[in-house]
Amino acid sequence: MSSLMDAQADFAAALLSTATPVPDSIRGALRGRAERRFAVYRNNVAASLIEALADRFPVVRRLVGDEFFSAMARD
Amino acid sequence: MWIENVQRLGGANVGVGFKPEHAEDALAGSHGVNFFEVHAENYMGEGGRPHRLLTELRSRYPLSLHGVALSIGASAPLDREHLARLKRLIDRYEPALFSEHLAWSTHDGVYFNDLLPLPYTAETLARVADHIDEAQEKLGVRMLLENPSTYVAFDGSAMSEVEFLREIVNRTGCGLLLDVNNVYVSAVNHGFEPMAYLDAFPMEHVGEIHLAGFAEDRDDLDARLLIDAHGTLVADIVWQLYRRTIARIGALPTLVEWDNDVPPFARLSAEAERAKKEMMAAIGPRRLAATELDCPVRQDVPQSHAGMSHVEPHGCAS
Repeated sequence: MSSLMDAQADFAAALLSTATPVPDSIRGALRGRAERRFAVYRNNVAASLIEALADRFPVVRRLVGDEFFSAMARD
Repeated sequence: MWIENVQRLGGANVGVGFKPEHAEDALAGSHGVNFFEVHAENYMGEGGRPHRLLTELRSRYPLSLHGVALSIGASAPLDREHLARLKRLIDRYEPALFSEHLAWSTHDGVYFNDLLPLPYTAETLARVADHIDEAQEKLGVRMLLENPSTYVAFDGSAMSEVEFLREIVNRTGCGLLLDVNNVYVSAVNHGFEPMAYLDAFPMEHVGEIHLAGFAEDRDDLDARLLIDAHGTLVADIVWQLYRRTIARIGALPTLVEWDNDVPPFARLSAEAERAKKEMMAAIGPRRLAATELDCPVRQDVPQSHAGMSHVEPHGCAS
């Protein structure tokens, strides 16, 4: 397995779960200094997944409202 | 008008990202926008309103096709079906420019709708170069590769981003899309000097410039963390960096991106018109004359360096 593949596997796992720590390969991760930086990527990915879900279920979003829909989708 | 517009793309032209809600104003033509850019992935369906609008737009203006999902930096092979869809779009619309990102967005069959950062290593370099070779071969066009905005860096990076991009160009013959906002965002986020980055950037290979607005946050150490949000006007500091770049390399097609909280078309086109003014002022009167009257591409580099080679837009008007 290549180191690039390893790095991307770790990165991908951490993107999809906030319970997975920021990958060690990222500068500052081991000292807990990359959480907010990594969160930018997590938020972008979560927002796009919520958007995709909303496109698929427009009626549900209208019924429950944007805020509730987003919170529900994040759960 | 079409011929004139197409022939002039390559030099002192300004564009905006096309939004379907702007279609009426964009097509009405009473604005200073010279070309439009679209995200390739928004036009990968077969027909319907998106293609009707794009066909109409293409009949009046040069297009720039901007891919956001090829995942050139992925360790896994390129998605052949995605490449085939890109090829169909390029054949159908013959865009004057085609660009993608130095980033990855897929892993193990999952697509992340974001441009994710890469460690700048020899291994990544080989992977990215192979992918660009394959894409340029399949698509039959020269790709412009865009420098990314990044929020994290990798301990394992062995070279700077500029060194990495320069080597990619050497190996693949691709061009570069210089996103000046991304330079500033990454410079603040990683603590390097944006002027030094631009001074080292291989400008002779740049075929297009991007401008956009950023958002601002704070990182874990309470330092500034800039986000490439595409939701505001271009920042003053980014205009400064843009003027400096143009003063050094001459006129280049320049595009304003605005993808979130999209304003009315007039506000967006005004930002592109400002880019034209800034470009003209930075070039100065002597070079402006050459740009307007002669071949639209910059005078100091071969024509083939300004964009794709097989499409006529970069030929001289003669």
